[in-house]
Amino acid sequence: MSNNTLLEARLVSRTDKAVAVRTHALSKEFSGRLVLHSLDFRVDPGELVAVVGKSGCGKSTLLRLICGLEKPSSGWVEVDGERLNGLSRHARLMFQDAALLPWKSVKANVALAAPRKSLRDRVAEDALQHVGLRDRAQEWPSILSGGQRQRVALARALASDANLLLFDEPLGALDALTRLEMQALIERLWLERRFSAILVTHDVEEAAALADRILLMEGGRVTFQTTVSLERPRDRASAEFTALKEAILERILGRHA
Amino acid sequence: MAAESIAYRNRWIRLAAPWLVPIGLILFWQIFAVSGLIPHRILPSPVEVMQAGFHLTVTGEMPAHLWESSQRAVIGLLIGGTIGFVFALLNGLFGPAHLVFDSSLQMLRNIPHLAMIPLVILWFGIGEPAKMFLIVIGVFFPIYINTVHGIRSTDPKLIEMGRIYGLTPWELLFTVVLPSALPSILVGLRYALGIMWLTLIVAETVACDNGIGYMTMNAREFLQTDVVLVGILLYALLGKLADTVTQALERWLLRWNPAYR
Repeated sequence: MSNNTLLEARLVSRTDKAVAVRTHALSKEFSGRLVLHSLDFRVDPGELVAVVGKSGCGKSTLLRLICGLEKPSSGWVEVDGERLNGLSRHARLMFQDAALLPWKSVKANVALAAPRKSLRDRVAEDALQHVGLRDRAQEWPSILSGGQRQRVALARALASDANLLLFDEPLGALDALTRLEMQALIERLWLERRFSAILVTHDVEEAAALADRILLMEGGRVTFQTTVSLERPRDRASAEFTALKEAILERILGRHA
Repeated sequence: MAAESIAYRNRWIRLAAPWLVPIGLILFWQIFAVSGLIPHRILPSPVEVMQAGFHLTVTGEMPAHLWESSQRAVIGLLIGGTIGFVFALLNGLFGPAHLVFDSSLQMLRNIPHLAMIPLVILWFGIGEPAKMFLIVIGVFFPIYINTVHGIRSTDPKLIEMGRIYGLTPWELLFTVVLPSALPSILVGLRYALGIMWLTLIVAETVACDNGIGYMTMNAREFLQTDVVLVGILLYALLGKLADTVTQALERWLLRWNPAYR
């Protein structure tokens, strides 16, 4: 119990560290093909923004630019008021594949992200506790299920003091039930820690369930956005939820005209 | 109960099965030799070979040759393996180095290293450096090629992950790239060990005054077929021993990999 409150205190103190993201006329070109068209985009501190769109619309590229894995062809990215040059120290990217090191135990995988080496073990255990995998700490990643691996990846991001989490369809390869569980977990962690987050997904329901704001990307541009003001946790059966989902789907499928 | 005893028996069958063929062959061999179907000078019986082996061990002749050969093998492997590994690191990690060196090395690789024997004798005579040189070239390529392959096939996602989490280049090398290349490096090592013994045999047979190869060639001159056979069997045992050790090493180092459990 006392251990728990200690943890809460530590987590709450993180709240004010969430960072803002802005992109200024951000463009990216791959061998002559324009993937992002002069994008102006913003995420407020502690906001969870979902980006939806068909494959190839540039949403993954946007995330890679924001965390600094790619350089913009023109324009720039600003994280926490600073113009990004190289890798961002705030951002952590989660892929569809958990990208765990198979030769390290679950705990060692999480521990490698901890910024202070002296506290690595404790931080890793705390983080694993948060995703409900404390008792699997000594296992090899290869024996975990896909959902468990993504939980470990999530724990790793938590252990690294991330202020900005970029999710690149992290739940895309999971079965429907596991996906619901993971969505609930992501929402809970986000409510506890209030990091800023960008969730790239092609699952409109996932976007509607988790996001404060939903952007639709088409051909490298944001063509539609809407703020979601439904109460959390969202009732997926409610009329408002369904209406929101339908509205976005119709935009995507181009039936709005 | 019944299932248990079948499982138990299976374990023994699995342990015994690989020995059936060699033991059967030796039995056949003994029967043929004793019955006089094969002349003694062509093929002495297994018992005689064992006696010869025992005799050579007791006199200390075989251990001395064995020591010389093993020394050559290990030193050659260490030198050649180290050079191969360093070149592989260089060419695997740095694109420009790969561009400059790799095609030349691939060209050299296509020369069978034993074809260099005449040249090696011209350069080094028939002394120790000649044998060492052949082993070094022999083990260099399998280590080099497999290590480069392992390094270059590291999952780029894992490298990106490491960079995102702020690993330094050294940390990336030791926690991501080398562990990922390890299965491939160990395959290279197993190939290298095979080539190491092969080269050693040839080098010691061509020109030498000690070592197992010398022992067998010398025995040939005195028509001691049993000693020749002892030498050959010794090579088989050494090769198998090296392979078993590497396999155990593989199982331990790669215990994270379901394919090696």
